[in-house]
Amino acid sequence: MLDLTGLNRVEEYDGERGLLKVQGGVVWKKAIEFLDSTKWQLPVYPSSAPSATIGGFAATGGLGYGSLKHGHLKDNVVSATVALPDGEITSFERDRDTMEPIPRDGVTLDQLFSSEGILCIFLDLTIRLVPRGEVQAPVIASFDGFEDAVEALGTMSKETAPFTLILNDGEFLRAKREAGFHVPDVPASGGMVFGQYSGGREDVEKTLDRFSRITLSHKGVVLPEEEAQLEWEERFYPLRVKRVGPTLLAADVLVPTNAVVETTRYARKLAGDAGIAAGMDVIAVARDQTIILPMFFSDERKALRFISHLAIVKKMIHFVLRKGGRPYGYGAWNSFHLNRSEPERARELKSLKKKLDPENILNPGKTLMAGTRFGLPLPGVMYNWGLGLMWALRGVF
Amino acid sequence: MIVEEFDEQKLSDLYVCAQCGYCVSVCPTYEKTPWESNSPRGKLYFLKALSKSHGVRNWIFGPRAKVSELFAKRVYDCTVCGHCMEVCPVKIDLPHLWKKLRESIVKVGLAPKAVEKTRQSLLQSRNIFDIENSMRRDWADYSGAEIKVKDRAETVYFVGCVTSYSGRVQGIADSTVAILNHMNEDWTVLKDEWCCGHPLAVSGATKGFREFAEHNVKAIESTGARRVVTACPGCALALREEYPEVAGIELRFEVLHLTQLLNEYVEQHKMEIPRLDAKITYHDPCELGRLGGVLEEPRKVLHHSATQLVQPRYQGLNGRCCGSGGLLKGVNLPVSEAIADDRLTALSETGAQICVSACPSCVQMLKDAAARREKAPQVMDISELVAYQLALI
Repeated sequence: MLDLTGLNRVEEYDGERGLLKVQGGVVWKKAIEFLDSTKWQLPVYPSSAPSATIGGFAATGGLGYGSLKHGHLKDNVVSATVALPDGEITSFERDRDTMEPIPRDGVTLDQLFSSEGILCIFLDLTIRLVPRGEVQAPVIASFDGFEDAVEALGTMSKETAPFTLILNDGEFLRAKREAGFHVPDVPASGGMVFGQYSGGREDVEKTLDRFSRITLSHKGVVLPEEEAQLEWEERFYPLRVKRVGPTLLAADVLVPTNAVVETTRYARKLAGDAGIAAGMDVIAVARDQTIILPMFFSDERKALRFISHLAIVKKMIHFVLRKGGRPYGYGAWNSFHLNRSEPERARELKSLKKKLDPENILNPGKTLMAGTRFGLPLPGVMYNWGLGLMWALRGVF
Repeated sequence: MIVEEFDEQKLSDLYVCAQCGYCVSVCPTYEKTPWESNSPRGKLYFLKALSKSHGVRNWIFGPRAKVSELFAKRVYDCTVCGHCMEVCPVKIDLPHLWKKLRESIVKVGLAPKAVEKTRQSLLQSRNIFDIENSMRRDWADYSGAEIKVKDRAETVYFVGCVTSYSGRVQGIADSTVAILNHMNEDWTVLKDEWCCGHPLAVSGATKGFREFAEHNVKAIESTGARRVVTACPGCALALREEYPEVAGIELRFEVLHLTQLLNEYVEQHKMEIPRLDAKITYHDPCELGRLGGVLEEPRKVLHHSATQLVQPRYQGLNGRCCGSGGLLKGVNLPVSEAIADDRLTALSETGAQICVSACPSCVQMLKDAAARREKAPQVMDISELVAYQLALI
């Protein structure tokens, strides 16, 4: 296990050009706070910013708050220093004008991003910052119908330029309320969209007007600014709902926005079949892409019942693959889906692994296979059969 | 014998923990000794494994976790500052969990020697310094403070061990006495004050705590006082929360921290403090602010006491610990001092000439940290600043 939090220095800040060089173990929130007093802000950061490290986010998903406006983290990194499996420390760069990655020994920065620690360790990154904007306006709207909320989210993502938009369904909010936290009054069958716009005062005012009109046209209500500010400050705390679990089964998936309704409907059906509740946290990460974090409330203390619930994650991924989506990350347990969901990426990762890490030193047993503690890979067939059997027996437990 | 002592809520909290690590980045002791096992997340992970160490699996494969001296050391490498609870998404009541865990560690005999030494000092001398308790009011003889020792009074001034015995912060007692006299309060100190017992409660050596609570409550009630005022947040926490919670004693008097009384004076226009022409900053004592809920009162008083009050990095509910809490100073002095050094750095970065706090332990830690460097702001307690501005000392 490598803990990189010792690499915790902000190395360089270029206020003229808007560049920030940070070590890989810097926690995102620290970088956010560092920039608080400047005219710049981060283009993208994860929802777990209070604990996630810069290098960790680069090695994994790279999509988060801000992606809706500024894209993937990799599109905003101009250079990075990495440690390769053979111990070599190497720098990768982009062309500063075209932002095209400059290959080094046939490998580019883009290929190393989201490689889940199997190819390299990110030691530092230089991030291209974005102007803070004259105004930062949090927004929030509630909808009586979840489908209306999803449609509104899609329209807002396409027709306005939000920094971030997040959608919580009524069940997610009910769970959060049950856990003892404040949430706006939204019916269980409804949804809430919140987020932030930033930019010049006049532009933001026009956009807010557009946000209101989209909300109204989808039978929603724009809630007061104080409520928007409260929810915006809550953006790092989707896990509050875990209190009602106490175990959460999260099946984070990246899906086209037009498949959100179907996917969440399927998630609720699975939850119903398992006799548990589920809440939906949806983050818009592109004009037509969202990350859905369906949170299934289970209880690992009831071991057999809990194991039967594990099949939910597999079923969710099979469903989103049919809808043009994919798992947000692979790790060990989603590695069985990599070939099917991203065949080209799978080929590329295998080839790079062979080239850079023939001894399988970095993160063995992950992404390209599911390793067991006995050193042998777990066959996908066994995984599918095992979970299928447990799911079939769920009523018994 | 460890998690078996936990109630249902605490056992459930081990599973509620999301292992998100928000607590890790704010934990002052983890920052100085960055082992995962030293972080709140690591400790909860271990405790969860302990709670699973039973049944058939345990019998076949052996326990998932075993309590060791090292784990016990980790449990005491903690200032119980509560910052972990503040940032916890699921709001696990970690300070109470740490205290309960320490009780279990004491019971299995794995607590650090300093814990037992402190307990012995308290049982023998009734104060944490192991000095004759009859010398508790000697500070007044040295300073000439006009203390009141009466049979009956409206208000009891509970001085506390650190203020009574530690020369570096006895100015807090002088100042508090001067303020109470200046405001013509009907007040007294206790004729036989004992330690509030907080070191026992926070270290988990709770056997004997009840005796301290009963003694002090009886002494306070014998004066007929309707309120107790103390300048020590630890004493305030013990009197107000730990006496009812740990000793099961129902209080028939109000407990105020001095800053609450000062704020009352200022808000009711009973006291006008000439403003010091200086830039000052305020360090929130964890046991007063985050754990005691007294955040605004000291700030309001300070706004009236100086021309410029600047906030440091990490303040209020997110205030950083000075390193003295949770008996860390006794258990792991180097880490305790390193935390104090960091805190003083953050306070110094504000450019303030004076760093004010409202706790004898914090003031002592920060003064010691200031003495270790060439240039540092002056450190003082809020009572001293107010008394000085009123020309009482």
